Amino acid sequence: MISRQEARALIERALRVSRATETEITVGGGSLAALRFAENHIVQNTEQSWPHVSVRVGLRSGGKWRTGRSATEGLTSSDLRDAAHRAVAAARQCAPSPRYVEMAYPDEAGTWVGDARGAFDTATAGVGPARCAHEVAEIVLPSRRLGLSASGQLSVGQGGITNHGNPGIIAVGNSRGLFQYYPVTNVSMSCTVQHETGVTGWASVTGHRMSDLDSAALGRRARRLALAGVDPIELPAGSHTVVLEPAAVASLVWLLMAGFSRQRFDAGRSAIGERLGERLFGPHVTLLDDPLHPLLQSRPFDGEGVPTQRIELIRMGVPKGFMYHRYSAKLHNVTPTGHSAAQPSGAPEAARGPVLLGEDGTTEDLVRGTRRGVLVTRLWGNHFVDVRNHVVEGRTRDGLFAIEDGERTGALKNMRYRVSLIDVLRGIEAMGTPIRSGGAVVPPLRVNGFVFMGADR
Amino acid sequence: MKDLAAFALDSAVKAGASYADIRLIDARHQSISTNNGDVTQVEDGRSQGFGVRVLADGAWGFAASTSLTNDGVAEVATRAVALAKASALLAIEPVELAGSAAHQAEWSSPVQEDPFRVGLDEKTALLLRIDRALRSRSEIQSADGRMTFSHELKHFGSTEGAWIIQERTVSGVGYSATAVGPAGVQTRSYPSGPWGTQATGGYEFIRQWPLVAAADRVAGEAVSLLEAAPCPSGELDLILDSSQVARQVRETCGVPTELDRVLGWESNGAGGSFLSTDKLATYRFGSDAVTLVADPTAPGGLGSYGFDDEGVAAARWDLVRSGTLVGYLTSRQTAPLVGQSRSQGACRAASWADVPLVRMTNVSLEPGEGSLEDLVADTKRGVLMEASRATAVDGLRYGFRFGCELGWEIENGRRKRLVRNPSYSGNTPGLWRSCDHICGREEWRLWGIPGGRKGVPSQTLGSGHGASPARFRSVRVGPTRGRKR
Repeated sequence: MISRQEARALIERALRVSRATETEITVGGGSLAALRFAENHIVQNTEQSWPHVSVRVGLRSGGKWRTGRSATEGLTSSDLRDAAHRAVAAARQCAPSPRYVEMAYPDEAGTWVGDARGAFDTATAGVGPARCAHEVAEIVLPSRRLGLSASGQLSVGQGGITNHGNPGIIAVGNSRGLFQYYPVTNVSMSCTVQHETGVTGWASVTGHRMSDLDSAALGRRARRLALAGVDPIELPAGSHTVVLEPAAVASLVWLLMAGFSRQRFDAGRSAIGERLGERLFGPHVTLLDDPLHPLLQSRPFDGEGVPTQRIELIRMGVPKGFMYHRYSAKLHNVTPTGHSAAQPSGAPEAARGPVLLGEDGTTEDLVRGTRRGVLVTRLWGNHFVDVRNHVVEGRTRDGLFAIEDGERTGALKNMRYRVSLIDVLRGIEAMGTPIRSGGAVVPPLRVNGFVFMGADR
Repeated sequence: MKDLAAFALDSAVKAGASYADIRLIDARHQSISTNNGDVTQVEDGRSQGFGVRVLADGAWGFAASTSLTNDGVAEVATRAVALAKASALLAIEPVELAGSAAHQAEWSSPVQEDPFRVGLDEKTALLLRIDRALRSRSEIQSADGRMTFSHELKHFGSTEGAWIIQERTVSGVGYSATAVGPAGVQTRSYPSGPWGTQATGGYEFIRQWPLVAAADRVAGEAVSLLEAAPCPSGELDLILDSSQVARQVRETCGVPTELDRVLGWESNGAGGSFLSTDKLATYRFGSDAVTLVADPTAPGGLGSYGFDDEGVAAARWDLVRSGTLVGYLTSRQTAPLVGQSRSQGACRAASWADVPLVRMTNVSLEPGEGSLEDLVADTKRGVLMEASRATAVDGLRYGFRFGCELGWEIENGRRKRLVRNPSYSGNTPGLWRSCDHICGREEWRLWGIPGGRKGVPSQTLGSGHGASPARFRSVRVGPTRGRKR
């Protein structure tokens, strides 16, 4: 893992070889171990390790700005000089950019308050193949004994590389003196256990430390869901009361966050944005974006090195505001909230750490309080059918169960659904304790009026 | 490079590998995007590194790095062996590879005009000209354009003695116009779908499209769709244009015939496949008119190459022949699991840092006969749909729902009226068995569909899909809605 001093030195070396009016250097890369298992054995065991330096330049001429970006995985002075030259060459050949915003000054949008050590765990960084294989064995061996089939993945990384395959960001610095650095280790494990009838159960955990990983518990949960899912029957299509496990809630919350992008609102793609200040939901609904939430500890600055503010998007049922990248902040004369992608980019603001506040209780507590409903483990293939009105479709997966008088009474076949995210929030009857799930912090929810369109065939 | 590769392979063997291969790759990519008169992205990146894959104690290990030195490759090779030995602790059976000739060969994708020699100023000027043409209509609120280019020089070596050098250039282009009105939002794209199309080839691929000339029509259609009637609902005859058939082929034939998926190796990730191995050679996938082939030798396809990332030479083979499932996309490890002595050569990685996986090449629907207009004239009542807008397929690739950008309601052999938000749903064998006519070679086009994520860490690899327009009888068209309980 590149240290703060090494990152700063690398950025300064790269800045020195740039001839642009202004220059920004992003350091990413790192290392990632990814182990996949299927049919109760390891099918892939990989490690990759690579640095990544990205150079963005701004060229000012005649009061207009041109911009370009280049990237390299080489760290020699020659590599950095070549990357800088390519970025400048790209910028020179492009038309001036009317959207260009001069690079950020240090602390122009405040600072972030958190642990400068980041979310880096030395023990996790030193994890080797034997330990990873052991974690997988905790899931695979019991599955074999029970005649079940376990599949899944375990990835352990440090730096910017994630199992999404991107170089990510460890540090950002620019010629205006801005410097940000945040070291992380990441651990992600998920497993799917399949019964011989084809029914599946699934469990997943993400975090920053191997010590937080309990692979045996993960396997137990997935096996329990698979065994409970045998002989599913078909649920009639229509409107139902559902208990959504946190993984399902996280899927929907991530989609909802798009409605709080100022850029999307300006493009006419956010009905919720048109109703800021109105009480749309119950007082129990509060939604934040907070990458430094203790359960997330995500990188606290955006692609331009601007600190990401903890912002209330919905407070006690009332939508309050938007996420702003630096361009939309400039347009609207507000302070950016630290939601820029690496520039140049036309991408709208994206959430950095969704947090939906909750109350007390587990999923089982919510089930116990349900007279008649459906327990949803997970949602999949979720996508917008109406971006502006926040209407999404998708499918359930890996565990759907009927609830009668507070108890699970039987397995159900997976269903297709279509819901308005606004209706989902309005339909919240009960909330549990928020936990980390799917990169967000969300509680389990009981929601009425959830529309299933029919069984997966 | 060859000496470095040999050193890596020797190091792997000394550490205990029974088989090893290495890919050393020098890659360059360029991407340009525009939006509403602004160049929103211009990036020129370089990537150079290597990955070593090994079998040790009957299990796989893979490691990758940018350290192109003897010490660097030796360390990575040794690490890969350690990973393999850790995997072997949970092995049920040792991995066995289908045999493969150890080729000593070179291959390069044909390029007439090196896209990296075409200036960025020319590329951005073209995109901005398109942008201006799209936004000449006031209802167009957003105009997006993009071009992507990549060049890869790949050296492959194996302990079996293979040494293959491949050079591959890919070019891509696409744009879209989004119209906003009181009734909603409509988007039209060109040449196809929101992400454009790609091919192996140089800048000549960009020049072949009438990009500026088509812009007015594209913008006009987006505006017209705002006022268009909603798509009719019901069991109707469905005609899909070439690009949407290509999408249908990709999602419901290409993906579910990836053998690793069939074997359940992707069940925790990308999903499985309903085309279980017991269906091979007997399953009625489609009508007699339906023959689907995998062909990495097809000129210019996004999934074209000379050799896959296991050193297996590209060759064409059938996946579905006259409606019957007869093949899969395979690798050296998966082919023997369905009784095949040779891999079909469909094992590739998106970069040097990624481990090769079974991936689609060019998976295409063989053409039939006749023109699209003849097909429309032959259709009493139905809908013609163009250009993919939304895709939703279940985990086994059996049930699906697709949305398209534009539809034409057909009545008595004529296009009656434009319809908005057309969509259709069903299941894979049901749709393909209902295919009663495929247009001819003159309507056939090889589309390159970018994207396509698979694996952990996720790898993005595009694929090629050739198709002519086709008709499907009695398909559920229009939205499906849940009923009140």
